[in-house]
Amino acid sequence: MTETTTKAIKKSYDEALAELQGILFSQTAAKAEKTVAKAALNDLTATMLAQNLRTVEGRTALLSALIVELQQTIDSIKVDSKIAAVADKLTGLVAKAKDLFTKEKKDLV
Amino acid sequence: MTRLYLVLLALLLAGCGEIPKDALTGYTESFRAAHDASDAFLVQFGQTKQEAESFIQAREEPSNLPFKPYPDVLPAHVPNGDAIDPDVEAMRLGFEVISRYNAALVALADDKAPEAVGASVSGLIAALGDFVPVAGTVAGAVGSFATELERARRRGEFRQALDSGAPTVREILTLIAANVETDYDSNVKLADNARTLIASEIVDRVTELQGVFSTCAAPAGASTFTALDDRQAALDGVLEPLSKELGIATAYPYPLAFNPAGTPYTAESEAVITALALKIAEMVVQYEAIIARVNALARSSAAYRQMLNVTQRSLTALEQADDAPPDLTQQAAELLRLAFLIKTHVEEIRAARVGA
Repeated sequence: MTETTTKAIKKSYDEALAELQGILFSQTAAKAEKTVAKAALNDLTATMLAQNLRTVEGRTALLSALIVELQQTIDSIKVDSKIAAVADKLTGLVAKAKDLFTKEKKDLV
Repeated sequence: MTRLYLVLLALLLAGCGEIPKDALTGYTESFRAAHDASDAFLVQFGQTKQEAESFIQAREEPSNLPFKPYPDVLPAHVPNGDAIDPDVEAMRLGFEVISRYNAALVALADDKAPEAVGASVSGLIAALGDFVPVAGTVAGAVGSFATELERARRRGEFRQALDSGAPTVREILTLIAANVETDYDSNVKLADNARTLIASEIVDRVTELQGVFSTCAAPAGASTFTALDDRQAALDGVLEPLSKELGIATAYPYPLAFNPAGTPYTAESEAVITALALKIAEMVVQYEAIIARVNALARSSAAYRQMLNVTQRSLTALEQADDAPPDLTQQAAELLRLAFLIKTHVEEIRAARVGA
């Protein structure tokens, strides 16, 4: 929604509210007139609230897409070093090989 | 010589720029503060949404139908009272995913991790030394080189993670900030409605009160009844909070006057007038509670939105960070102030909700 639209909606709402308050706060308005004004006020409020709910719903859809997007970015971040992993693995293998080699050497002697 | 080349290479790599840790801390701390404050906002948001939905539903259902305290047809789905609202859940997940993203950035900026890589490589070289004769110094030099390589890799990875993630984080925070505004707007609309209806009821009761006075003649001589001036002063005082409302402003103060040609003022008249005055005072309390609640919400929502803005600004600072570390003192002070404001106003909102 553009800023102009938002301002226009706000203006219309304020004008409608003022109009209805004029009737509802009047000491001379008839009861029937006030009843109609109350119903109109409730309709006005419901319309504005429904618009807000729809706006948030639209944002939630966008938000869900952004969450997926950021999760993909997180998944693509390589925090752990492959070099370290390989080095650690190789160190283990070398240590194992060293044990075997020592054992072989002892057996030969 | 080999060692010298490695050290020079390491220095060159180090000269390619550092991960801006101060700016990263500034951003992650801002976000943490906003995330901590988000619980109160999300609860508030969920309540407003429920109120709005109930209001709309009440308008859609014809009022002449009988009250249904239980479903009259079997529901298609088992109702889950604990189900989280999808809009609230999306915002909660938004905060969660940004937290995970920040944790990844912090992990990339971890100083000890590249040293651990260097140590692993040194360990490998040392282990190999048992088979192949390798000078002890070379194992250390290769380890240092691996450390610097890992630092460079992390710097590159950090920049890439920032370039691809920061715009998404900014968009998520912008959407949540927009929801803060919409939530406030819905509260204003609900409050406008409730405030107008209750003010209308108050005006009707005041008219009724004036009507009772206008049908009675002033009590003759000394009486135990409350004096008219005292009634008038009390009414003016009670109605003062409404005195700026459009339409009421022109009529206020509402004059009370006896009718010389009216019926005698009796104990019954006094009782009716007292009851009406009490009812008016009660309704004004409700009217004021509506206003107090929205004002408290305005302050807390503005503080929360500002907190999200501070987080966005610190993210921009992180993206643009150069050698000069940002001044975090001012930012920390602002965040503390905002967190305190939100906490205070949340208490006010709760108190006003109980009073309403």
